[in-house]
Amino acid sequence: MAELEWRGPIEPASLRRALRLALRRLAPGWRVIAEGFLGQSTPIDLLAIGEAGELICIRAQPPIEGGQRDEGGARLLAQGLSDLGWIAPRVADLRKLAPELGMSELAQPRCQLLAPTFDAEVVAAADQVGSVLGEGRLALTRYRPARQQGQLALLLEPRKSGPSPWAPGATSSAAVADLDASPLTDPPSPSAFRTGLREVDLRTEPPLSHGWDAPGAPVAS
Amino acid sequence: MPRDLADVLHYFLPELEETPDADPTDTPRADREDATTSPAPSVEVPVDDPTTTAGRGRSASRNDARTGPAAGPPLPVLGLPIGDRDVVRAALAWNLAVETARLGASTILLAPETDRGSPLWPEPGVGPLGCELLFCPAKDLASLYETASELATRMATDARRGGIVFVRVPPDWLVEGDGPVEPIRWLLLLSGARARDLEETASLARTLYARHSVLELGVTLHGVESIGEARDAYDALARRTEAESARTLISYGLLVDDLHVYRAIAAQRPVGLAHPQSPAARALMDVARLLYEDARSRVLG
Repeated sequence: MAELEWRGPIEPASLRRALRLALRRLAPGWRVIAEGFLGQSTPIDLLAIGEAGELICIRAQPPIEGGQRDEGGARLLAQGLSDLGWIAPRVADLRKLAPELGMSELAQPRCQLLAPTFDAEVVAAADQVGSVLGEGRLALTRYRPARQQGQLALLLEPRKSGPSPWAPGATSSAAVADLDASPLTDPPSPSAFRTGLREVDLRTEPPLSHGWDAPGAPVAS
Repeated sequence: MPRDLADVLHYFLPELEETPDADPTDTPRADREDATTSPAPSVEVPVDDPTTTAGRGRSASRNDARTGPAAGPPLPVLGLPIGDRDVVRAALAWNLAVETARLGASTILLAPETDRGSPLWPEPGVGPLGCELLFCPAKDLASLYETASELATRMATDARRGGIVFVRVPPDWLVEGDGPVEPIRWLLLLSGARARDLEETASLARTLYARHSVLELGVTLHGVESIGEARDAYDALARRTEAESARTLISYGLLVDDLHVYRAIAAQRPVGLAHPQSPAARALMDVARLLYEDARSRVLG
């Protein structure tokens, strides 16, 4: 549980670290493969691969400090859309060149944007664009920075209804989080256990027979 | 054939173009099978002398000649609490280092000098896939991590695909004294899945979290027979840790203690090379992937 609301500026590295920790719990199926990865012109905070093999561009906007202009998440949304357009044509190359990462060419890249607040117009714009892009490809989530044992932790806004944006197959209407939800508590967390193994991987392969034991087969010396 | 994301970074990072004198022979680790060589090394005083190990020495001199960009951030240091007689956990740690090297990482395993000659480890030096085992004369946690940090900095100059410095930490060093365990940032606990093992792991996690505010603590369940068993054990540990320390325990999958592990220990050969199709080898590769991905996402940024 968080102890206090975070006061003061947040370093980008701290924000990314807290975001990774939050994602480990909320989206254990996501594998973060890069941090600060350069997109069209600015670094994408986290680049992850989802459970369906889709690339996920994750950006988080630090809280607005005094003297900064509050854009209500508009710039973040623009960057997220830019990320989607920028990375989509590169997926096939990445998949060929990095097959072990498990990217799927068929799965469209997704974008997850996080900010302390989003303007209503930004939410409406994201909703509209999300419906054009397709299911679950653009998601906005509000967060609140908190202090947990002296460290930054992110409390992510719960959703009133609809599938989780952290799960594959989230719908476009669900992809835009319900930003009017009030209580700031993390949603019930699924198991954060991670493995890429299947039960079959833990079974010892039966010895190959290939006819060696069959009648008439050559006898090994 | 390029193997991983680092090979296509130039698609994304135009300012990091390759230097003209980049070594065209710098192939992935998997292509450098069994580079067993080398004068047995010990890191006497942290690591200014490039001749302390053959492999690192070559790396350093090649980099000195480069005119390209400066080295990246130091490689992550991963601490592994392993008891003085805990042969199984030591074998799992060494195999994890080798499997991480197979993925293309630069890996090194650092242990206190007191381990030399013990059955915990194979012969020191550069081993399979370029994974190196080193001893250092550290007497406490601070000096052990100082050496590890200097190795991490040095290795970063040549680790184009990132890497990990694995460090065997005597568990006593972690719990002795009352002060904070400041040098540690990233620790992996290898835990059994039985109730008593989980109890011990939870207790150690509670102690470590209480003494280190930014510690990232991971756990790999070993000795399990199914994914469900490992998941249940992890969930129980994570709930306990959350309740006691309000911190999130990171999952790093599961390992299998099958017969191949013990055969590999006896033969001092990595499971992934001796029995690549065994469940133990598959599980080691999976945990290595999780570790490497976490390590790389720090370094690539």
